[in-house]
Amino acid sequence: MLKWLRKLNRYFTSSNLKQKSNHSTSEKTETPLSSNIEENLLKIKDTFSNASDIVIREFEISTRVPIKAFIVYIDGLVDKDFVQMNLMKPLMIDINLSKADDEFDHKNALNIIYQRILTLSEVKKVKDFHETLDYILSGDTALFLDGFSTALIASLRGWESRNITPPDTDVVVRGPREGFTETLRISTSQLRRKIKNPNLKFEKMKIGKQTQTDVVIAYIKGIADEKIVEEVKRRLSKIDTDAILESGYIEQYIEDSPLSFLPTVGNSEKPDIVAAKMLEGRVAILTDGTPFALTVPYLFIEAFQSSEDYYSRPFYASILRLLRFVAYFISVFSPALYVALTTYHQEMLPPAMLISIAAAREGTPFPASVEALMMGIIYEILKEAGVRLPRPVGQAVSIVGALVIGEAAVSASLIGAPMVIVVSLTAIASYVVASINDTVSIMRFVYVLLAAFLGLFGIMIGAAVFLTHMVSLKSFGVPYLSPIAPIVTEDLKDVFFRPPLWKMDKRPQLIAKEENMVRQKPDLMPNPPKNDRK
Amino acid sequence: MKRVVSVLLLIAIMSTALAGCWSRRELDTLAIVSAMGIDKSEEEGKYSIAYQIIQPNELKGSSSPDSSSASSKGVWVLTSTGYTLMDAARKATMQSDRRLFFPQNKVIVIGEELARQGIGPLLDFLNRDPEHRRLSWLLVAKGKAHDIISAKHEQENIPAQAIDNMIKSSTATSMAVKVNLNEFIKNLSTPGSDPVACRIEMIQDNEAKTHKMRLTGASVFKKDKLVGFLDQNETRGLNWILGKVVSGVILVKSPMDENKDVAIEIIRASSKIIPEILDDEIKITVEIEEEGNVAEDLSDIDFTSSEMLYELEKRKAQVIKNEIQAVLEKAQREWSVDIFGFGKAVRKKYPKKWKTLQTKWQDLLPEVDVEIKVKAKIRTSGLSTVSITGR
Amino acid sequence: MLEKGKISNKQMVMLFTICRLMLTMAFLPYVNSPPWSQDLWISSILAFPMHIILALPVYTLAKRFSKLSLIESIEAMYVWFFLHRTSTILRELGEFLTAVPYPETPIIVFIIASALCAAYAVFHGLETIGRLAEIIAPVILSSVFLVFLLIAKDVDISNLTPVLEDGIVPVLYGAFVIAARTTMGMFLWILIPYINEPRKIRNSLLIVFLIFSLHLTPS
Repeated sequence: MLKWLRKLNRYFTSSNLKQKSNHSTSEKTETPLSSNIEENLLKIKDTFSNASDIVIREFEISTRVPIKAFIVYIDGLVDKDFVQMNLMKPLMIDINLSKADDEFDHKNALNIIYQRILTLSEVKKVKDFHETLDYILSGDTALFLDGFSTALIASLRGWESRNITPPDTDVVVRGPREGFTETLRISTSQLRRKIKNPNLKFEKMKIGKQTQTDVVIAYIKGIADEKIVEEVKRRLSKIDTDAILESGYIEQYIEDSPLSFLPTVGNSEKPDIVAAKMLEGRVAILTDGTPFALTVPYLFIEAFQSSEDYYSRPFYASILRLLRFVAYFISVFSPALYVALTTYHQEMLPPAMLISIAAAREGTPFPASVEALMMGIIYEILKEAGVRLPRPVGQAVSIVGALVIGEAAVSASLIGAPMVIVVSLTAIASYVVASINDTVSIMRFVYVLLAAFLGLFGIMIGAAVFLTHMVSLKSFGVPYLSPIAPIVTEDLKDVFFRPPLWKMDKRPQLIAKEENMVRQKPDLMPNPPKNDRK
Repeated sequence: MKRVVSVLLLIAIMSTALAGCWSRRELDTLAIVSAMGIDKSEEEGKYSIAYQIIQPNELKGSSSPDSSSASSKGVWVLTSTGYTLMDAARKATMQSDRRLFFPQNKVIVIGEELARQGIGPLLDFLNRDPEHRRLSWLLVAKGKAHDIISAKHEQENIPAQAIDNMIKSSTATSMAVKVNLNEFIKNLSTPGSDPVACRIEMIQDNEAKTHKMRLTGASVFKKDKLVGFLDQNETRGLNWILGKVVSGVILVKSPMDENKDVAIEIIRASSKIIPEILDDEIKITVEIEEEGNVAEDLSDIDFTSSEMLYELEKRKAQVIKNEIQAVLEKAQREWSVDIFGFGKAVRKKYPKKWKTLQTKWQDLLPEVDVEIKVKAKIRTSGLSTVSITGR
Repeated sequence: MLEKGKISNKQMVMLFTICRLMLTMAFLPYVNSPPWSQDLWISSILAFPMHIILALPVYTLAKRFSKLSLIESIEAMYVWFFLHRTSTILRELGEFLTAVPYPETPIIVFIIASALCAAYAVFHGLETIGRLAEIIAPVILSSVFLVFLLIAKDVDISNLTPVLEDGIVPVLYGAFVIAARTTMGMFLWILIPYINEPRKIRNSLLIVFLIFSLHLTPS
């Protein structure tokens, strides 16, 4: 099987290479702009033929020496009011009133407009045609002047975007409510607001031959390991595909073990979580068009850490941490254990329990293993329906699910009541560690099958193979199961418990930059003066 | 190479899948045995075994305690005979549509007649077969084991559950022994000790004209053969020596009025067996320390007087001593069985001398001088110091 | 060398530990182990110095050629030894499983399943196995401890007397048997060249033997 997997892997990589060679001809070459405005206009019109959302406005800069000009922008991506007030009006009206009019001629027109007329903060001079196109497509407005082979790019972007709302994932009781939005710039601003530090770097890339999606690699210089940053850049630059529509696309192109069902790239919708991860030395990848930011390296243990653990006091947070591990084991193993115990190892059940389970199983038509698989599948169907259906119908589904499957099936003796209990317990428990919910679902079925075939021994073999697989994984060079395996004593305290913040003196050993491990001074434990006033 | 690997993989997966047919057993194909009674069969050399099988179907409706009407029966008794236990168990499947399932078996009852012949051969199967737990209680029925197995119990749907609870709660009187298979086998195989087992019998209930099962002390074995029974007081005597008295009531005659009783509750007790060998004379001292509270006083004792308490303590010590004497008389002197573990104590203290003593321990035992020292104390007299009619 | 990965000394300790303890717990060989008496615990403790004595030759070899694994020096013999050892272990495990929980299942099922499981780990290399040990060993050790706590109320220390009933000789013999059995597990010696800090190997080995000995069930 391993051979076969390798072959599969090779197949994937080789097909990638092939594609790359096919498309290498279409790489951009430098095409300078013409100094003839008609030529430029023609070229633009030609490029954007049949694109109804393109707006080209030809006009004359009415100075002493009139100059032909036109602006190009894409309707819907710019703020029209701003274009009229801050671009058209200065060029068509204000220029006459200013002193600039006197010095204006064909030679220095561009410079004067750039330096004295345009009351805009972000204007760039671009000489290349394709670069200009990129800017226009990103929502900038291009101004062409007759006689100049340089276009002025005015950033007057403005489009309808979603408000910042509390995200549906990573819900917290205590902690910031804001989430990322689909607009990249807003997301970076949210991060910048959290970390006001020049070392916070946003390196921009464009990925996707057709979509030209903006992608930002965010990290904190000095904390993030350069090797990891370089690795991220290397993997991102290798992506040569048509479209990046969501960060999930990127995830699938850069993950370490694409054939594993365990995620080795993390994602989050919340700026505070991403900021916290970057402060531990992780690298974030923000993608335009999605509120989900990726973080690497991603370790298994992160699924059990909630941002709220760190915002609330450590005692209950530690209990919750342990509870999440328990919930994980319940959600993965309980149906399998039920099957194994009731079909292979009845002697391991306490007598009273065995009798009541036996009483409930009496007269049910299916073997326990089939029952478990059936109920598992029904639960997955209910879950999927609940997510996809419109909200009012979704409620109906849950009622039908609870009544028909829970009540009626049991009272009709189609399914034993303990199985319903096990499945609902599993379902609830799996939402405690919501971020690896998909993996948990897959594993649950695998274990049920193994338990049906070989009882506890089957579960054990499955667990051993799964564990071996887990420890063999790496995420951007960091062992997936660290700090449990390999044991990193320093980090181990933030695994099963959440230590007080004043005790977490060091950054994660395997993630952060080696030379810069210290997060804070030791002995930060609060120690208020004893002689207080009565 | 690739092909070899894939073929191997296929074999592995197929063998895993096929394994489902081997050791799997659905719950509704099992007849869960809750108790098992072994008797001698009328045919020579055969055992007759009664299995008490739980019927989950019958128990299904009676989840609430008040619905356990007299008509609902939670168990079914199946009888089977065979030349060995395994033989009988397999022959039982001729009458049962389900396979007998033993791990939840709580009670093993052995008939008196069979026990007198020796139960060593039975224990081999119970010890060897992985399906049997060594935590099942081992009881000897005075009479037939079948009667015990087929008896009903008013409180429990499963009579075995009742026996289990009766044995567990026998600590309230300390007048029964709690012996499971493991302990029995351990005592049987340890040199210098003989096993005991619990004793159970059907007692006629005069008013209701029915029979009820009751724990009535202990049954004493010499090696693996039953030699006799101890009654309840003698059993407590045995428990005193073994240090297994947990609680119970001691009745003493009141110092105020010899016709009236005072009940003293045992709070805690411990024992020590101290062997001594002086010039080939073996002497064993049993030291008992006991503490109790006055629970009930039928005479009018003034508990503020310390002399009264001393007197009570003395009388209590005498009662304990008598109980011990009684059991020593029977087991040590009459039957010459070492159910007290005296031999074990000697072996621990004098490992060298024990080597020579071991072989003739049977014969030496009745001659061994056993001294009993009892320290009995009374801690409190309950909530009242004088009786209501006292003043 | 085939293997490029390195494992830490800690991982080696854990590997050694689970390697023997797992089998001990499954099969409890102490039932049939000299001195067949209540003095077994003394044997177990005395096995500690025995371990050291028995391990000395290999240890000195390892010191001398810390870069060279034993398998490179006496390959053929070792390969045979390994085959034999591995098959014994698989057989013992299968024997245990077919004896109690799965009487009707053919033993080959368990052997193949365990062997495939092991092969999968080997496929991923030594580093993975080392990390695996780091997860499994604490789980096993803590469960042993837990079991010990749970049965603590049933433990009767007086069962351990009389101490040295038949003198010291059978106990010493028992200690030797225990140590010899464990030292058989020393096929893990070939791990030595892959260890991070070969200098600290002496301490690591002492820890391993201590865990074995204090565990009090002869491994």
